[in-house]
Amino acid sequence: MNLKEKIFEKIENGTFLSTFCPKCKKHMWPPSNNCKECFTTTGLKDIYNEGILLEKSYSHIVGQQGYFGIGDFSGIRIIGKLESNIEIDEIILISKVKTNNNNKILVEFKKIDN
Amino acid sequence: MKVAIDSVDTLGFEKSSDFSLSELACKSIINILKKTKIEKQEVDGLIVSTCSNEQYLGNIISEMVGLNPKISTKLENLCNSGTSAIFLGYSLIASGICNSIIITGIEKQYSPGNQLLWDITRGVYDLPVHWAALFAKAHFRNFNTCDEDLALISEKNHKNANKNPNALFYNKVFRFDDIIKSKKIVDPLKILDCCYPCEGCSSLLLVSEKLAKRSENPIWIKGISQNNQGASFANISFDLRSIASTRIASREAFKQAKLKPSDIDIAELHDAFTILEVLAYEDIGFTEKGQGSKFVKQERLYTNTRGGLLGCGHPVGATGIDQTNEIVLQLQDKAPSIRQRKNCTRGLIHNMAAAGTSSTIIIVEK
Ligand SMILES: [Zn+2]
Repeated sequence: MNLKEKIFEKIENGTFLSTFCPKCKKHMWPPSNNCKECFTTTGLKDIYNEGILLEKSYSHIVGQQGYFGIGDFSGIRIIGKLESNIEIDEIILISKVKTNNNNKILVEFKKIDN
Repeated sequence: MKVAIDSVDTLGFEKSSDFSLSELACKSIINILKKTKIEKQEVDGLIVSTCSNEQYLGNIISEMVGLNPKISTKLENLCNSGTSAIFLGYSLIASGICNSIIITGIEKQYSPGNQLLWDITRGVYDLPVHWAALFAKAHFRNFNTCDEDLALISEKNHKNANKNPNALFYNKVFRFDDIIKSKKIVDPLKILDCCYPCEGCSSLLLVSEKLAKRSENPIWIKGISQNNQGASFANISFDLRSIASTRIASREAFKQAKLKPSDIDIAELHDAFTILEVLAYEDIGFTEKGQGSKFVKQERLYTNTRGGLLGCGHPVGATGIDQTNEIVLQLQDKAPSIRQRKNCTRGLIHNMAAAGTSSTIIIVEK
């Protein structure tokens, strides 16, 4: 099983992991078997699910209608669906993650509840 | 060692034809060989730019047109393929390995190059219009750019395409109002802010300084640079106000050419989406950061005179070569009279790929 397959299998079981360098203490995304800074073999670690919304837009494309945006989760950036019209720079949570039939990761972000 | 562009050729861009990729390439290469004074036997390189998965195209095409070059290869770098092929050809001649290289770009409409599947940082939003919309949103928010600014770019490039018989939208007139009211795709981008993938073929012949003595009208490559920032949107998304690979490649190309942006008379800029032309004005240095939407109204520079990707269509592997061909024709005073611009001495070509993870800048002079 390659790295992407391992990560996808974990997502199907409800866990969202990325590779992590134990030496640099940094996540790597897209995942990689070696740290690109120090080449140490990476391990898998949970993605910290609290992040910040960097930019957002609204898609009119059939099947993808709605707000989406790019979030930063401790250095990991990913585009996901926004549960509502969240403001830029607001704190967000990864509320859902699953894989779809096209081998893509569907992530949903929600505004953090105060 | 100096390198010149000797001759260029473009087949009309269209949605599709019955010709295979190699048949298209052969037609265009034969046109080049008829135009140049360089003999076929002197051609010692063939680089085929395409995102197609077809095997061994370099050698297949070499055999079909009767070339026996030192190097015959296929090159893929998504939308930046054509300019990457020119970069490679330039390097082979500048190093003295080759003397004369044909670069040919070919693509069918439904090319694997239209979408980057590897980048999982895009989530399910894998169509390029999603990252382009995020760049546009960032520009709108930071610099008060608006829908009308983008529509002006689309209008200009489509008008230019109406003067280019090779353009996909040669016969289609899109007015400002049509553009503003066109179908929304991903806010703020509408369908007429987006280019259209199509079929196309463009070729050019690069020659050494020695062979250029036989060229009627050689156009010299004064600066050429490329920068690659990886492949994922995550890699470049920390600052969506700018495209770092374009900034870095520009700085290096201008340094090589010993020129500055104000020395350029005419430019072909990668406008797969209108917002990318705004970013290109700024990141190349034609104007200050944030002033791109004002720059288009100032008309200080001829831009995308062939119609850009918006008006010509975007056959991924051919685009960078066709952009270069337009600048060559303009500097040679050989563009069709309806779109020939006057007094152009120096031109610039900007091409990029995959959310701006890769950019090429070429500076040429007559
Ligand atoms: Zn490390």
